Amino acid sequence: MVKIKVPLDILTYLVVALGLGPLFLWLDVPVQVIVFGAFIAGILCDKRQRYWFGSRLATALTLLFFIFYSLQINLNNVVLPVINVLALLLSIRLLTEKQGRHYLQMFALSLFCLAASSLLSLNIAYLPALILMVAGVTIGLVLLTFYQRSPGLRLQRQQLSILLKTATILPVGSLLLMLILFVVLPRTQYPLWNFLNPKNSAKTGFSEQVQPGTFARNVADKSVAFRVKIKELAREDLYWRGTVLTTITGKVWTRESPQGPRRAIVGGQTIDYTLTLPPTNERFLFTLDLPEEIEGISHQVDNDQVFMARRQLEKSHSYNGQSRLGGQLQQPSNWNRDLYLQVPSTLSSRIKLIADTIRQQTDSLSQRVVLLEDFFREQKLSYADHDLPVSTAPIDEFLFTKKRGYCEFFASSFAQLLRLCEVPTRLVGGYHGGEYNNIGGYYVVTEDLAHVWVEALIENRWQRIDPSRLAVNADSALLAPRQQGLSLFKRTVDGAEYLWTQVIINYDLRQQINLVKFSGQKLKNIVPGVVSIRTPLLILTVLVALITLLIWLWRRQRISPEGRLLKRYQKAIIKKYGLQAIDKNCGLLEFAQQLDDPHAIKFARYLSSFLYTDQSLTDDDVHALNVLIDTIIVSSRNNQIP
Amino acid sequence: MTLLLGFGAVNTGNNLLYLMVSALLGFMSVSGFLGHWNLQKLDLTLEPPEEIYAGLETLVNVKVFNRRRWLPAFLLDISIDNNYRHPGHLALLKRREQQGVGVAMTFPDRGDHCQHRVTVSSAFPINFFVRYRHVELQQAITVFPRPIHCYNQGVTDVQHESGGENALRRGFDGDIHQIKDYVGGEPLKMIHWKLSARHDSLKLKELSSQYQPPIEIDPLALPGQELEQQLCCASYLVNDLICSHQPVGLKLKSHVIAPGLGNAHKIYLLKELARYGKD
Repeated sequence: MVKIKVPLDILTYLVVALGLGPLFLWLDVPVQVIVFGAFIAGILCDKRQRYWFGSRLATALTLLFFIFYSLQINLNNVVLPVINVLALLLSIRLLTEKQGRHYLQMFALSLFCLAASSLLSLNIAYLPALILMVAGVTIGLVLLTFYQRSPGLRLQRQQLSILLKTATILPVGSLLLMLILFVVLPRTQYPLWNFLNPKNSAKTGFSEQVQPGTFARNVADKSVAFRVKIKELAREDLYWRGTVLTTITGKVWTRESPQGPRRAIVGGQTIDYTLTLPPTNERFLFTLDLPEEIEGISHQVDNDQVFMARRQLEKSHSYNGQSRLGGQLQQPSNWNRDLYLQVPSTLSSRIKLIADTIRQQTDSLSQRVVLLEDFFREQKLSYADHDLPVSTAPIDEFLFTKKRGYCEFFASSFAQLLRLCEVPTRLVGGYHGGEYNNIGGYYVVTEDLAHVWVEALIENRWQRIDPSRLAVNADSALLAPRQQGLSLFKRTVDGAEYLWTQVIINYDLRQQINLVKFSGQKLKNIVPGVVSIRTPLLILTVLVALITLLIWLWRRQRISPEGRLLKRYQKAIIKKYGLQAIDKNCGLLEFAQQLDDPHAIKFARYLSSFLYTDQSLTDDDVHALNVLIDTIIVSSRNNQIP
Repeated sequence: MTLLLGFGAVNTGNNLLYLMVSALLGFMSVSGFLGHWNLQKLDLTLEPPEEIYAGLETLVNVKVFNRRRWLPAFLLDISIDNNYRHPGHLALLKRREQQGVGVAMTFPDRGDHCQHRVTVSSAFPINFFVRYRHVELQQAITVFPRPIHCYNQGVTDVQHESGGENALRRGFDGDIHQIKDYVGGEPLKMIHWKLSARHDSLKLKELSSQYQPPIEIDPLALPGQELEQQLCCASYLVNDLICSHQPVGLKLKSHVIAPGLGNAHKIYLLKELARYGKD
């Protein structure tokens, strides 16, 4: 025998742990200590049936904590005081005697704790916590119903097993319905209380300025910059465009948005993809170089194909993009050429001399690019992210002294030298590379893949040049770390996180509307060309007919073979003798004898031997009885023939 | 709680809150469905005790059969004719299982009661709501007049009227009536061994017979201002006299029931009294 309180207590502590667990790291340190202590002490108190707090002391403490944290609440700090209060209330409840309503309070507080954790983190760990919480609370509430009925109730193990099995219908059903309701519940485009949602501390390797020579070490982490669902591409095609920098002041490259109409893209192969950006608190929308269009997010586009969101990206977003791999942007004739030839006056004479030498060797812009590339190779520059040139003239130091630097040094020096060679040039900031996750079919681009390259205007087309590839160690230092390949575990974990972001975190009103449109289109496409109401009606009719057929078959199956045979026999007799109905009070054999029908009597005797004994009908018996009925039917037809 | 979280979800647009609200709404739906099904496909039959008297609380056995193929039934409270004070309770009724439960109930009037409203209620699965299901059962239960103590003024000694012997009879089943000397021929078991030991001769116990003279009750001749009171008195007398092994009969308007003994005869008489004047 198992006391009903035992499984109820176990489930209650599981639910409390699931409620407090996700919050724990966010709580104030004293509250963390109290919560942990109360959890352990609560278990001991329940075991000994002696409790630390009476109801009055518990109420007084509750009020005290409530007032203390209420005073800390303001518009910028709502969630943290609230979660501290919730955790403390739950702790107090753990230390007091538990009656039926107290269990209910603990379930409710634990649910609120888990809900509050969603205002602090959008981690995928929430999903298993929610599933377990739903299971714990729902089964716990069933046990609580029994407990409230009789607190001392004891059930046999078998009875408890039956109860738990039946109670499992609740979490399973609830979670299945959750999937449907999540999709259809109404959403707003701009939530009023957005300030309550998790604040994102974006760590980005990408910057809207390029400033080589500021840091001796380039540090970027492996946090995800974005994910792109796309087919696997060649490594040299993985350039993700973020911004274009046009103006250099001192050693700092900044952007000046170009004016004028949009320009045409020539050449290249069109490719579609879906890019998912985590919250960045920026407006940059990354695209595969060279982008044509994006959709699925409110944005603006400049004529150098830089896409910007209209609002700061405070939450994760997904959008569809179309790019032209290998495409080049055409430059119309009326444009500000000087903007792309501007160089700082502080450039060293050594640099100017190199540029003069190249310029004098050829008038062809493309040849000048080739000569400059040759110069870079001759310099035997190394790609490195530490021991970098830090000075007021970092480019000079990079090219002639230290000869080591990362992409900003390569791109900035190359661009300035090209400009000195009278080749219109600009920098493009973004990312290069990415790890392909073949489980999810997408690239994951991390912050350490942030990159800067150059675009030069040659033959009226902007051409991509990546000077970092001219480093002597480009293959090992630049390219290899950008395509290491993910382990199966990392791919699986990242795939799950990507799916979580795509399906749950990013689901919004826009996706809801798209889903409705998509469903409507799919419905129309079932029968191509038919768009009237007849199609859904036809489908509905077929469905109803199918369901009716299934119900009929199911009911038919429920009737025993004896019952089916009897029904068929009665139908045949009614037809043969033109009866209204068969007297139910009359026995089978008695009725057959009254009719004086030899076939009917034979049938009645045959079937009676099964109806009133333990014997079951074999297939042969059923066949023989059916043959008898057939004979009755045939004889009735013969009687009708004049 | 769901409303509060739903309000929070809509206003923050936080999809994790939406997930929780969806799960809670799903839980509400499934628990409602489970609660509804908990009371379905239950066959109820009443098994009343042999003797039920008007106005006296009695325990009726209600048999509950769970016809469901998969689901057991939990926490069933069963009451009859809206008497919710003392319901019968079944904690668990497995699928395809039958269990009986005693339900206290009181019939106010004598006679045949054919229509019964049985109410099955349950708080399962969640103790937020109690669901009720009413079942109308057609089953005849005869309720006898409530026995009320009275003196047997309206009874007729059948043998006395016909000149029969009224003296105490000798027998083998009554109390010791007389001690006599053993003269031989009497059964040995009648010898009073203790008393014989104190005397020189064997002494014999002579027992009286428990035989009582047959009696006929005329309800209309019994004390009471109304018929109902007279029937209550008759009910008492039938019980009392048959209990003391006195043959009892009934003298009714339309017919006479000959005196008799035994439980079956008592039930027969009480049924006649229950239906008296109700045809």
